[in-house]
Amino acid sequence: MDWTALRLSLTLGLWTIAILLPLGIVVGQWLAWGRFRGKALAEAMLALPLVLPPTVLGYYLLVTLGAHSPLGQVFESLFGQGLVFSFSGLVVASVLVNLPFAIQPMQRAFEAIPSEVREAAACCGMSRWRMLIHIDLPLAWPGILTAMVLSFTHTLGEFGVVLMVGGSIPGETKTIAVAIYDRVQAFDDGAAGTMAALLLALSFATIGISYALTNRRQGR
Amino acid sequence: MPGELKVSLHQTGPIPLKLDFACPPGEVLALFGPSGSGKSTVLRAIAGLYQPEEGRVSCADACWQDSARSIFLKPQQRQVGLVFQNYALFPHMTALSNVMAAMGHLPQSERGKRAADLLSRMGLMNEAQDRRPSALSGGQQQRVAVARALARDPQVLLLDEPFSALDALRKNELLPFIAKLAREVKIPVIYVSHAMDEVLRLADTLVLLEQGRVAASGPLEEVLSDIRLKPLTGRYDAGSVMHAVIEGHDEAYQLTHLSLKDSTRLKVGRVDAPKGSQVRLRIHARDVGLALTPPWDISIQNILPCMVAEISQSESHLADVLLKTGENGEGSPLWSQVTRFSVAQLGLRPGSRVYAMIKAMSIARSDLAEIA
Repeated sequence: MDWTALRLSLTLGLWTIAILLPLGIVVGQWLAWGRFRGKALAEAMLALPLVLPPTVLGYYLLVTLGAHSPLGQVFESLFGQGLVFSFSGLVVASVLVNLPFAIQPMQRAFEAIPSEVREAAACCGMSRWRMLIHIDLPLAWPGILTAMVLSFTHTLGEFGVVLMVGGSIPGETKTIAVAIYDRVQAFDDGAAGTMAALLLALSFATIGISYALTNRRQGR
Repeated sequence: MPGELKVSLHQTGPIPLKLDFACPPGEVLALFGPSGSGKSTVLRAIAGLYQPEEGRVSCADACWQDSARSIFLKPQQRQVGLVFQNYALFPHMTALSNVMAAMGHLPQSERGKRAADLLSRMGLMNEAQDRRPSALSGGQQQRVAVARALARDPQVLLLDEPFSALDALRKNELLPFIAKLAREVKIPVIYVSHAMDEVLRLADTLVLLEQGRVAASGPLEEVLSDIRLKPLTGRYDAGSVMHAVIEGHDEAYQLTHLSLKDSTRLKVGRVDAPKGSQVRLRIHARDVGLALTPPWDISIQNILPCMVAEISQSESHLADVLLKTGENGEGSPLWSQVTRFSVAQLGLRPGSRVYAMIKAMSIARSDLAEIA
């Protein structure tokens, strides 16, 4: 049982949703209510990680974030450390891979708020900020919760991209999914089995809790 | 200080608009027209939810929109109270919180008490105030929506077909309530409807809209009595609207005696309003029959001497006859719809003296409204 890998995976998951929560709310609202040219293209781009093979995504991330890329050089000069084969790089990759899992449920949730209710809020004198806190978030919260749970559990299980961008550095980029693969390669079926079962239980628990919360809310 | 609302909107599309009107404080102005005539768009433009190509909207000293000066204030910056057609209450909040949500201009500590007071005034009592909209009846939801619209201390109250989501029973319960409220708020009240019985009971001024244009506007009695506007006001509803005072009640026969402004008397079914009250009364043209000599031995109670002012013949079998009540036609206008055959048989022409016969029972409760 690789506790370091588990802790790393959980930390990665929390960082991912911490970044995706505000990002998803902003982009989700933008896509739900905005009318602009190229909206379909933007939606297609954001959905791309759903269908793209993780290795392909990982490859392009390596190229764009690598030490020779402009982005990688800027990051290195700022933080004195490269993006690839580091935890920070893993967070960037994880956020990108999870964009559709976070944004789509939020977008649907915001779209489901009747436009009249938001207009009524505007006529009640609510500023954009008060509207977000008192109207948008409370009404969209089942969708936001779903988005967070999906992103979190998906991060725990992400394998291909992590391996491509992060490699398998213990304590830095070796997540639990990679650790399971590692153990299987080493014919350590016992450890692999324990970790797989743990991941299964963890995923089931998070999904279950989110479904229970959403159902309770709708049942009221 | 409440002041007059002035609206002037112009655009060619997508919804054509070409209209100007004003509404002083304390007056109820009805925007009336078929669906698609643009009346809801006008309301949305006043609230700032819709920006027409060109327009000027001002209320009291505040300019809310002036396209010539590139001014367009957001709804948040306009002090408007808007009651949406389907109320658009916040589904996740209690009735009380819905009202408090519109009190951003008040200190937090005052909001709860003010909202509770307002809801009580609207007739929504304590227990119901803590319920969410889904647990309230349609009538209660409307009361919450009106309370929320007033919570902001608006300069204008806008009502978008507030009764269309209610059944007839609830509507009759709430109409007098809204009518009374509209007169109490002392601000301009703009009210959108396509139901004439509501307009009759609520409005002082009528703006008839046809494809985004003002087809006619003016005091309710004048516009509604103009038979040329019949295609817009509705063929079924064609008739005259007049003011009357309740002279007294005949309890034994359950009748009410009304006096028109030229002191012509009318008997109608018992009206539930005290003696001396001012009422507005609509007499449908189809309920007014004509005779050349006063008939003595018939059941019809209301036989008014009149003079024919105008006859408009349609292509069908019907003709509309404009009468003026009184021996010499000095009183109120009164429309009668008879067959063209009758016009020819009686030899009617402008100046003819006739007797108009109106059945007391033809003036239904919904044709009579108490006004302040």
